[in-house]
Amino acid sequence: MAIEKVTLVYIEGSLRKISKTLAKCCESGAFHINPPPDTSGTDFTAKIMKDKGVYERMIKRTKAIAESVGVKLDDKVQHDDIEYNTSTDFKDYLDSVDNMQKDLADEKLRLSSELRSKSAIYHNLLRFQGLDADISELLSCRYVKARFGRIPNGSIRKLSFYDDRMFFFYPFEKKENFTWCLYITPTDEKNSTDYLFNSLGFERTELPDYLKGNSDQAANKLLEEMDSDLERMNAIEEELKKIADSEGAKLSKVYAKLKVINSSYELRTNVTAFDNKFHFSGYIPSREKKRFSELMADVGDVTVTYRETTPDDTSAPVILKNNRLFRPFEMFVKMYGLPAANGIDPTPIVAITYMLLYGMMFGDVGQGICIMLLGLLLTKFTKAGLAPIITRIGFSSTVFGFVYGSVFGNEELLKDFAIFRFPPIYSLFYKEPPEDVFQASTLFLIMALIVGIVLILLTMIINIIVSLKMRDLESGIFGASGICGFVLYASLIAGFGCSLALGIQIMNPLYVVCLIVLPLALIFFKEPLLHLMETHGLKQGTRAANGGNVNTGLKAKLAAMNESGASAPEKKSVGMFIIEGVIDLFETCLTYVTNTMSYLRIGGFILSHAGLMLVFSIIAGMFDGVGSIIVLIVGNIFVTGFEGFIVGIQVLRLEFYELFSRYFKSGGIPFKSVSANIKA
Amino acid sequence: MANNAVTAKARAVYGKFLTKDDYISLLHKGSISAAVAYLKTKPLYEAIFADTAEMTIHREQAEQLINQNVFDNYLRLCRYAAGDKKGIMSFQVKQTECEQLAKAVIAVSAGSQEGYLRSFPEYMSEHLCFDPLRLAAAKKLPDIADAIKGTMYSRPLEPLLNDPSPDINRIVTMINVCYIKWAFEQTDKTEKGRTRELLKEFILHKTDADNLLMCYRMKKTFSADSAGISELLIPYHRRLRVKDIQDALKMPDPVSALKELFVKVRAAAPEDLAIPEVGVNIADYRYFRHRLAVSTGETESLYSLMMLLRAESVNLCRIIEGLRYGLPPEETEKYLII
Repeated sequence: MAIEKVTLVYIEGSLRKISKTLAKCCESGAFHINPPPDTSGTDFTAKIMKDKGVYERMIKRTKAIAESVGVKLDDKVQHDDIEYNTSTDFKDYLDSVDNMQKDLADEKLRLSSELRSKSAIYHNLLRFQGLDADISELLSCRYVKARFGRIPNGSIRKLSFYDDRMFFFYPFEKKENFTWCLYITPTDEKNSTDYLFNSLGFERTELPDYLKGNSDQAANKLLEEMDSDLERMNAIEEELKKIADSEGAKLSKVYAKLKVINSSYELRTNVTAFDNKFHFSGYIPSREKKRFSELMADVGDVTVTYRETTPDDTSAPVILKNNRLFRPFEMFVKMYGLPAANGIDPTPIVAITYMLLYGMMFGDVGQGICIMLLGLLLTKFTKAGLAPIITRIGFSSTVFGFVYGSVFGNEELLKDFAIFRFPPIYSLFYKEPPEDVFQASTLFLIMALIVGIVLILLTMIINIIVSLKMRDLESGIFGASGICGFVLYASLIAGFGCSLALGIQIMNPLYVVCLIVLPLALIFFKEPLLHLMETHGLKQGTRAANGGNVNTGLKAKLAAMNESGASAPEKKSVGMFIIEGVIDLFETCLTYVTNTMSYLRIGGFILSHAGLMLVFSIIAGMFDGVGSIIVLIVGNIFVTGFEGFIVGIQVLRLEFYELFSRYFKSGGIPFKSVSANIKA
Repeated sequence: MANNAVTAKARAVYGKFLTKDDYISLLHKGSISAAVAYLKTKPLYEAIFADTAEMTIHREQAEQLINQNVFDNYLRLCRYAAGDKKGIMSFQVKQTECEQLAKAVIAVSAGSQEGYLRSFPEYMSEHLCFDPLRLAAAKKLPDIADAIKGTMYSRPLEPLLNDPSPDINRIVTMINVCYIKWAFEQTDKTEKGRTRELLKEFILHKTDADNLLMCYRMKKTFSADSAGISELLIPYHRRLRVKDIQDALKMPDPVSALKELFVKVRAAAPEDLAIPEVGVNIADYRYFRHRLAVSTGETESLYSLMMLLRAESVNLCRIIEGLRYGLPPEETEKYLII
């Protein structure tokens, strides 16, 4: 249950070593690089190194060669045995492979293009089957012109009205809408006949004049040519395959190495160069320090300085570290936002409360086991992040199924195990043990409220600890979830709770003044009090170890605003101060009520689950034998899917709105290992 | 259920109509090929032009495909109509029949039969009650009378077509009368109640427009007298009684009075006298668009859609014609029903 400790690393060395250093950083798989420092406005002038794109071009060339010879590249392949280091080395190798395959690839491309063209002509020729004239002679006639093409079927009838015009029309293959045809017209009449046919929707098909013989002969000749081309294509493919066999593995390794080198070039935008030396910094997980040092030692001639981060270093990236049980719930935390580097990782709290609330709201032994099995199956066969969560909530649902005595909606089988039938529990509210969940509804609703109150108080305590740790006095002491808020809320709950539940009146004047009015007054006057505390040396916020501002707390915000000159702190009139304070107090009290009431949904879902299953039991009762079983199965599937899904969303809502809003401080930067930045 | 489904489908087809921006884009295409390539990207036209090589397409072929598209779309939609409503399909066929007959008469009288022959809709042949090829082959008006022998047009048109000095306007009017008579009979046969009234209203709506345009053209172009014009009017009306027109024609400034009559048919009176039908067509278009929007019956929605589809095909044919003759886009735009 923590945010993993990270170490700040400064690396500097000779510019000659930059590629190798960055490549090793990538290889480590655990280096988060920092952006270059902003040196504008200082005397220090450093240039940011940028890539010229030479390796990018080589990657493209490698891909093109691989595609040409039919090699499938893999950028994950081990490439330690590739000894090329400079761009010239790579270029020479790629030139040599290119020389082997270029002529073959060009010929293959040409043949492929010719084959496509011949295939199209062949298919056109098939439409003119039965043409008993030499096509090349027909197309080369000097005094007549022949046009091949197709005409809409409807236009053929119209041609009979043009008997007086000089053309001969020969229909060939007839399709649904068109007829493939040929018309021949004297050269002198060419224009008018073409116009007539065009106006009738004739679409010309060009046939090449090298086609010898009639349509069948020309088609056969084309087929022979295509066979010969295919044979040559196959021979080329064989030769290319030989090249692929001999060079494929090496080409893949070269590609992988080029990718690593290129990615290191991309990283150069984060490196500053000064006085023939490079400088950059980043973070590594502290546990990786030894391995990273070994990697850097391989480079040689570089200086690596490590500095442990302090809790106040807010610019450090965040890595969540949790055990196997809680780890899947990191997904929910990341969905909301990573915690600040100096905050706490809420994953364990989310995991525990999520499982607890889910089980309470959807407790059923049978359905819980089904959900758990579904989760296990999904975990095994998919990589869905939700799958392990489904397993865990399924388990929780099963446990609470025993608590409620519910198995696939049947409330009778485990009735005697049900919590509402234990004398110490039910005797608080009822004289006789309730027969079913509905009779115990008051018990469940009060239980839901108690759970809500406990969770609110717990989150307030967490908030106080976190805020004080971050020296955010406004939130830790005067906030609605700070010490004042905690005292106020706990006192109100205790006062009303004792009065209503136990009949004990503890809210005497002293109680009210000290535990209710005083916290309210402190919340009301928080701004002047914070100002007073600052003037007496109780400064809020802190300076980060790396010199950055930690913008926590009201004062820090005001200070930051002052420093940037964006705007001066607003001076308030007394009237405005009172109005804002009253509204603030009203909102605080209202939030306590609404947040507490919000937990009533836990009880609501317990009842709705029982209600939904009761409906299906009644429907099943209307059928006999198999029909009844089918209804029960369908009902259980529906309730598991429908209610299980809704409860999942509702619990997430409680987590994000009711719990996170009280204690969670986001704003962390995710740890991104530079190896993950490699682009394809 | 089927009732609502057909109306919904008709509205869905209308949703695929070209927008004003589409028309502007089409007007600015440099050629018919470019316009057809553009239409190929539009859902209502992609199917009809899919198999066409736009680079070599001819104007008449493009126009014929556009008109065929109207017919195909309408036919497709009518298949969904309830069994007793399938007769609505015949309105489209009959209107086309009358149009072709009128075109053939005008072509013969103008001596331009070849143009008609190339452009007549061959795809409609099997639906028409006469052989359009015989109509296309007609050299004289009596040949047309022979071509339509045995059809509903034969009896009323034969004396006019065989007249040694035929009056083309009267023949065209008579063709329109034939259509209205047929349409009324058809409506009485297949519809009842409010739908019957509405369908007749639709038919007469068009009659008002035709009558008004006829006398406007006759008065402005040929300075015809009141009696001569009255003979050419279709003896049916919705809002525009023949007597109203006659009274208007008798006034000292009959053209201004006729312009007032445009208001009666709820159309904008034309400023450009060369294109008086545009205002009327736009009023028609809006009327049927409104009817389609508020329609609750399939007959109403199908008839409205038919009129709207025809208006769109008219627009496209005008654009194609404008591109063919290199007219400036703004000039063609004046003729569009938008």
